[in-house]
Amino acid sequence: MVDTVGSNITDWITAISQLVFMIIFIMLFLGFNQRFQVYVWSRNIKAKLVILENLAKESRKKTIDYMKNLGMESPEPVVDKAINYFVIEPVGIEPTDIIRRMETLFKTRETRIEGIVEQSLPDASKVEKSIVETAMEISGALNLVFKYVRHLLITGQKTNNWILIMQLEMLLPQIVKQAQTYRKALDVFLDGKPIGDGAGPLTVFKLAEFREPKQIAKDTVYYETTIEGRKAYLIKASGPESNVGHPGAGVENLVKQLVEKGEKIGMIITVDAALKLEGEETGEIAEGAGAAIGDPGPEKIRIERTATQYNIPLHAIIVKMSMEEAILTMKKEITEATDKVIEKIKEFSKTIPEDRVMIIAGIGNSIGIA
Amino acid sequence: MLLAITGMQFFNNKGILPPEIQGLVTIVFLALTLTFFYYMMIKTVPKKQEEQYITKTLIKCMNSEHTEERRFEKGDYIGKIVGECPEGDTKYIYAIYDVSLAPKKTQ
Repeated sequence: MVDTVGSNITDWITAISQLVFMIIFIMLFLGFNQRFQVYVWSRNIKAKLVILENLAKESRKKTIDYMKNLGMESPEPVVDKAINYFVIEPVGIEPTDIIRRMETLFKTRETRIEGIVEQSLPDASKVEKSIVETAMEISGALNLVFKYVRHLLITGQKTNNWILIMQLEMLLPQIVKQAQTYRKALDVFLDGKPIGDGAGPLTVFKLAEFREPKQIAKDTVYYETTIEGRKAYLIKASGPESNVGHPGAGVENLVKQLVEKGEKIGMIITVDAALKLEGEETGEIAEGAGAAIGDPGPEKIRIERTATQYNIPLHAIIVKMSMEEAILTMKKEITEATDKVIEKIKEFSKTIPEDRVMIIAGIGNSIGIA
Repeated sequence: MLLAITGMQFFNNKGILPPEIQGLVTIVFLALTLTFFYYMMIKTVPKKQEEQYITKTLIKCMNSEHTEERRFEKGDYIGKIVGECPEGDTKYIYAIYDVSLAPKKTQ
């Protein structure tokens, strides 16, 4: 009796297992495994999308609150206008004068955003206005990242494009990390603290030793000093506002003025923050040839063209740091690295005759650095 | 005990457990093994701890080596004049930087 019952149950278990196995086998042929995988990926992407959405919302709110603290009653429409502002890439298949076209577009954008802020906060200080502009830029970037990831997810789901969803799922941890860094950077800018990217302007500040700044281009100043017996001109973005200035235009204008005055220029040195490779130490410095500047082109090409036109050697000194360190509060290692940069500049200066002058451009955002 | 039952199961022609119990035991063992592996995986993944930083302001005197460090205050910027030194020269903010709260790991 017991054996018969046991045997019946065994038969049932065997039958059900075989049926389940058959069903799974058929479903594998019908692509169920892929559909299930896409479902799991989509669910993961949706979870991360919530994080991105929160980051975008938080940064928008922080920007609005900052503007309200400056006395603006309802900054929401202004912030939304700036956040959704876009720049159309110039035509690339015809490279002639692309830099000039690019410069025109950047100037248009800069003037427009400055105009919006000026109109909204006429009584705010220069530093506060610059912080609002940067906060709007960060909020705009986070908003774009969120919208674009959402767009890719919906497109992938609509078209059942599992490769798109798979790529998105694999890339998202990195995207979320960068977005979180941007969000942290917003707080740093709102506090007016110097950032890692300010290594160049900090070097210039230390060399200038409270000398009187003179304007050489929009938002860009220069100082006159002496390094190892040679006359030196130091260029940086004006501070302590959040601003990268126009160092390319600054170098170009200054070189023209000096040449007109009959000065002989021995060298141009650009000092900038540069992305380190994983494993490299933060604050490590290195020298090289060329213009150390990370703009999309217009400023860099001005420095290169000016150096080429007047046959001036163009040196570069970089301070290595990670992407995160470049946009967050300056680390002690980076502050200390600027002293090593100054030593390097002194070494360079000894290689030119004493009757020659040198130009040193500290490239980067000068927030928190006078 | 467990080994003895398993041994008898495989080496005795009759087997001491009915087939349905044998199936259940296998499933339970499988579940336990999977749970153990999952637990080990979770345990071996290093916990991500975000490094904590504090922003410091370094104040210097213009003509002497006197320096002082304090916590960053809103409105501080490098180059800001913040008073006079005991010797009578100007006191200014020389640097603002983040320092880690955790002691640096040695490799």
